[in-house]
Amino acid sequence: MDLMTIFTNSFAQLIAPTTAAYVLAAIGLNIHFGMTGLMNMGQAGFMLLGAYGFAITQSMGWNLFASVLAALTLAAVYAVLLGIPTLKLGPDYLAMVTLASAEIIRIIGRSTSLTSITGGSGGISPQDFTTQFENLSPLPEGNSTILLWSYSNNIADSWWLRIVAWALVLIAVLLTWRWYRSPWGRVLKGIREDENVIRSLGKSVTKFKLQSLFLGGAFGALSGIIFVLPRSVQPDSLGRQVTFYVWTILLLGGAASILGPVLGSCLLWVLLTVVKESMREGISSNLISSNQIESLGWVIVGVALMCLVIFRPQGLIGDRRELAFNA
Amino acid sequence: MVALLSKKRALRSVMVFAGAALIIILALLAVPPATASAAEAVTTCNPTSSNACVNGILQDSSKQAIAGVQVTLGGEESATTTTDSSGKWAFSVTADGEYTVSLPSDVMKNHGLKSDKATVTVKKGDFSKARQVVRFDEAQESDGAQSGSSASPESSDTKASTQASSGQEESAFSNFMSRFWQQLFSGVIFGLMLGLMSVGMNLVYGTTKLSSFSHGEQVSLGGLMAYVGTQILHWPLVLSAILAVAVGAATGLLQNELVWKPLRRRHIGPMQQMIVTIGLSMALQYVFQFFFGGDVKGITTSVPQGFQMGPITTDFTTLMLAGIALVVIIAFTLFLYGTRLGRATRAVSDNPALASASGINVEQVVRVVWIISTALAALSGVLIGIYLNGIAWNTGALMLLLMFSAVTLGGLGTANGALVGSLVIGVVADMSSLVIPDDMRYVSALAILIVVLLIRPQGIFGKQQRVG
Repeated sequence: MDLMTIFTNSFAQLIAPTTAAYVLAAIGLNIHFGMTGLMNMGQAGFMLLGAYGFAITQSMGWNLFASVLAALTLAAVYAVLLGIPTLKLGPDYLAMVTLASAEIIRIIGRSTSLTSITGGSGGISPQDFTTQFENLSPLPEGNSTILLWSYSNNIADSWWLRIVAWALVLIAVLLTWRWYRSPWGRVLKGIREDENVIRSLGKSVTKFKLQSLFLGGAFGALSGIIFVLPRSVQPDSLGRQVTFYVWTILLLGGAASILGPVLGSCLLWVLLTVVKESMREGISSNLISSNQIESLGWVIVGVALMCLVIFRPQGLIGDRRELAFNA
Repeated sequence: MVALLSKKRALRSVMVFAGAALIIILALLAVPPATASAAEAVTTCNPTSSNACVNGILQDSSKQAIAGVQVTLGGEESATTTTDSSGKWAFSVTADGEYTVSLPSDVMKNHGLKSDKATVTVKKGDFSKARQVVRFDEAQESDGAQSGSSASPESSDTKASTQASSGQEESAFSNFMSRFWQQLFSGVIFGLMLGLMSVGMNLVYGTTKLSSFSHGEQVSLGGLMAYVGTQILHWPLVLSAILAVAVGAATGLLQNELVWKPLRRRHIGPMQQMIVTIGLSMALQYVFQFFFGGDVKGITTSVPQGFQMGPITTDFTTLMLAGIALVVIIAFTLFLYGTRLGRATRAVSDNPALASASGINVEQVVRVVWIISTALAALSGVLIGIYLNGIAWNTGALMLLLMFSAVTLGGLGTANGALVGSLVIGVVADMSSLVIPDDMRYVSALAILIVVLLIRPQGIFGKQQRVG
């Protein structure tokens, strides 16, 4: 029975909206890092901005699509503001600035002085921004059980959200596949490998980098929306750790590969849940508390990230030749 | 001169203005007419335009801190908190009016306190009433309150002495100035400690071109080792500090031998190495959380005796910590500029290939740099742990971004840039709480990072060259 619980909970991660949100974030990061070689260490900043843009406009009563557009616009503005000072500088600078800006967004978001807009560190609760999305669902009321998993059709962590999230993932994968083989994508890959060559061909490197930063950020913002829909908007749940998770997912699946983010996210969450659940079942809580099991999960992710870069930088399905970075 | 500015320069100054405008907008956004939110228990409280503070240090009559006591705030708003290991407690409140602070009465009896209740009047923006310090032990000395006005009993219905509004005659301006000096002072102290952390990080960057994201964890490690020394092994503080520095140095040596040296030998680029440091940072942080839990660990338990020094209130411990930081930084600078190994280090920093060609053992230098860098980080962890009244698993991670700002401001890879950058960042971070809400004060430091990159990406001491 215990083994069955572990199995059910772990494989529920395969279709969970959060897994899909991480896939979208990793696809965005793949455009930054895998395609263009930009070290974006603040993907969580894009996600949080998207989440705020969506949730705040929703609670003001905007149309659903207008809210999504607002989130994307915020991400675009943010990408331009980040890009102007840093894209001409080395990769270290972009890494530091993106990390710092993501923290700035989080600190401002959780500040008590903005409680009336962002809800402070308590955040925005789901009933304020999920109603329109739930009303859009064509599914009937009630719960459904498919195979082992039972969820509500429309409310909160629902089948409807799962369908939308994975549909978005499918669209994103198709788009990146198309972009990857396009002349535009080849320029980005050229920038990744040697931007001087691209410059000598008369292309504006900064312009292309800015486009890449914006597109990846837009996926980040979408991912932020999916991430907060089954829970609430909490600035601290989209902190630095989320960025590091996204990096681990991307490098696990394989940077610069189309399906790498999908594979990485599904694999990471299933494995992590298997490990955590079996520790919860197997080890007495007197020996290791459940908080400590959470910490151990993080330690595993950190060590996995280190080992991946050291021993298999191309990840599971990446191509080593794609990793000739201009660094 | 202006006429000579090229189009590019003009474009850049436009961007600078845009950046500055953005920051001003952010700062303005930060001070909205805040709607009343409930009182909040905080670790430290600084009054701003939107909140006031009720705080104190719970001590018995012999000045021993009483930790873990539940303190209840009532009145206009209510909240509860528990005193930390040094007896400190603080509430941040948003509504003006009367507040009552109370303790469990058995605590009062057991520790011989004069009262278990005190009432104070709080008024935001009024500098003598924006912070009310409540004492339950009826000691009459100045107790380190930042407003600098003298203590005088106010509430008549209780015997608790309450530092209160004797400062009517003091104008708001002089109060602002005293807060100004106080924040400047604490900014310099904080900057010195930040400098101690950043010099090592900067040296590692200079010699290996690696921006180490795990440097913050080296700081936490130092503080936590000092906690292990004083609170678990019950060693004296100095011995614990030595233990912390020794452990820090050992981790630096081990890291270099086990991770960074093999990676350099395999020609793994600094970008990939940077991702490795991120993994290391995550793993270490949660290893700390696993062993030490999520709460703040106090290294020392005694409460230092505060005294007045010109316009500022301080205590000997703080001055001592700042002194240690300063002496170590000076010694480090002398090492860099006066000794053979120091010169070799700067040579490697400048041009590793040339240094290697002229007979310097680059690997040897890098090893020493790693050891020094992590040892200094550990020492700064001990100092900051004592200064902030405790160290937590993520203290270093919070400092990391400030270190990055400091190092970038001073100039990535320059020896003395880190110190100057740190002092500026420390002062700005602490002084900014005079104008923006306290919980956003690190934003200003991070904003500096972005502005520096706009105006002078090579930093104050960096060589003018194409960066990147």
